[in-house]
Amino acid sequence: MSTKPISSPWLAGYAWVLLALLLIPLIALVPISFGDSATMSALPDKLSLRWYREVLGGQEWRNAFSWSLLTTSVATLLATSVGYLAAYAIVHSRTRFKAILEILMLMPMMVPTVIVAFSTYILATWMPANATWLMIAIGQALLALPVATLIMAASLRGIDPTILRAAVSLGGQRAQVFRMVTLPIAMHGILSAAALSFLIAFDELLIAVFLTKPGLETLPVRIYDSVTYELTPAIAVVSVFLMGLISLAMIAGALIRRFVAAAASNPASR
Amino acid sequence: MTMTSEAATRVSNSASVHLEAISKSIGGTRILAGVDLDVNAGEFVTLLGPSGSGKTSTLMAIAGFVTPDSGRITVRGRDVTVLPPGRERDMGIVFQNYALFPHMTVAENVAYPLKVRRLPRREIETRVADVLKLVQLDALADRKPARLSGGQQQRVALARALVFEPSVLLMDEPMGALDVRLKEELQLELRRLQKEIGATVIYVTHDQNEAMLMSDRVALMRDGQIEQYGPGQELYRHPRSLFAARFLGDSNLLKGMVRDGWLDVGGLRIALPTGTLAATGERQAALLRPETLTVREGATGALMSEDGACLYGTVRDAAFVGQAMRYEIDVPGLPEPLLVHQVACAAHAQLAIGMPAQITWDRDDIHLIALGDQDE
Repeated sequence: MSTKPISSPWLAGYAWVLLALLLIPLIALVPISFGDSATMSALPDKLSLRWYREVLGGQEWRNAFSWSLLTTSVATLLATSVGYLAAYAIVHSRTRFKAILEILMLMPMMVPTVIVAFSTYILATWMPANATWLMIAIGQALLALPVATLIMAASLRGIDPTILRAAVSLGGQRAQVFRMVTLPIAMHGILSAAALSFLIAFDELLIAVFLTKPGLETLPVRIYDSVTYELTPAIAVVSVFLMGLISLAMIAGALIRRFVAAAASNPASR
Repeated sequence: MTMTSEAATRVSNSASVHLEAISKSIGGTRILAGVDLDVNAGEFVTLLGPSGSGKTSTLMAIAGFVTPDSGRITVRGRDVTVLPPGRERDMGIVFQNYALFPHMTVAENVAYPLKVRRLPRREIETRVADVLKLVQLDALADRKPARLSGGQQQRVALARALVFEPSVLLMDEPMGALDVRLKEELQLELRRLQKEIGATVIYVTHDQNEAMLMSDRVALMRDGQIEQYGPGQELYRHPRSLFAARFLGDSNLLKGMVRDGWLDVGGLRIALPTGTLAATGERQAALLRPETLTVREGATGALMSEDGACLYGTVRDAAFVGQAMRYEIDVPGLPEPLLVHQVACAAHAQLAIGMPAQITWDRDDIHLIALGDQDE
């Protein structure tokens, strides 16, 4: 297959316009975040770090961020580990109900999120009050589970079954085969699944809104409240902060990938 | 590519393998129908057969990946029939596609069987280095499999299966994906290596030349059974069935009936090999290998000679195939043309298509195969 690189000034222009359309709304938030007044303006009269101080120094936003980090981390862990087992079952099981199980796995993705949110809300009423955050995490994990499962099932399917046979025949015990062969080969898929689960869970609003209560507010809920009741440049600050965080994460990811690739081809790093 | 003998280690562990009446059905289809096989310690045995004959299933039953419905498999006298594959079974397997671990280097691949056995690091390092030297891959120890050629990958798979000194080495068409020249080289190399370390090898192939070149004994398989088992030369020279005669090498099979010490093939009289005890009325096929026949220009109109080791016909096809001339000779009275391979040298004049031909042979080069009821 030979694909000629297409180069045309029109195409390049189109790409730039598209990129601008995608990025301008986000970039527009940057000047807003440096405003000094209590209202938002695209071009603030006076630049200041007032709202950065408010947000990063304020207990409310910090709490919200902490709660988000906690529920999202637990949700990622749950979605990835449960998803891995489900993916393994989908790929290796020989039961006749496999097709039905696969569809059931995808249910959380197909039903409206409101329904998932409502059902987690009902479940939470049966649980001790101090476990509500866990219920949020479980709900978020539920939303991330289908995608995580699909990604990991795809990467498990990609493993040649004779490689696993070889691993067993050469004397590997189950746990060893998993640790030394299956896991490293599937690692790329598992990491992708975890990253996507994290994003889905971090972004999740509805479940958190249903289960929120004084002292338990995730970042999306806090932002939502802020937009509804306050509408100060604080939101812009949070947005810029999150964008910065995500950019950092992406750069780190790219660096790690490059490092791993280099290590793979570099004989000295054995 | 020669093996360095200093690196050679003898597999002290090599074991005998016995299969008794192994049967297996999958989804109502009988894939193994009573396989019996004896493999001595240190012997190189090949399971040869067309696809679907059960050779790979037999190998997988020995490996433990296929559990027989009935029958017994013993290794060094110990029953392993239902033992799951793995450490207890103690067999090194080289798979058709090598099944190397893509995320490990050559050295890591080879170290895997020792690592899972939790051997001391020092010992792992020495043994990996030794076996890599043995298969001449010590220079590529730090490469990933993706950056190796097919032949190199095959040696890694071999090294990985040898490094833990298994009692038996099983190989499933390991040369299948290689080109012809490399294949021949590796076949000889593998054979020498096997003799050097004294490993018991059970090898699967559908390539008869490969089977004969490498094996001490060949088990020819057909329809889930062993058709004939013996040294390659015996199978080639003295096949017990038409199937065996046809599967190994090219063959001319003249079917007829024994009559007064001759084989009567549609009116043509063929002399039986000296000392043959065949009674009149027996249905037999005479196997004449194409390379045992001599062809020269014959007289037109001649039909049959008196000694019964000579036929006359017309050259139907003549082709130069490198080391030999390949002739097809139409012989009146025979349903199929006779195939003759004659070394291309000055001693033999080449015949052209349409020329009359005389075919002669030594009557003792004939091998008789008794025809059963189902052979037409």
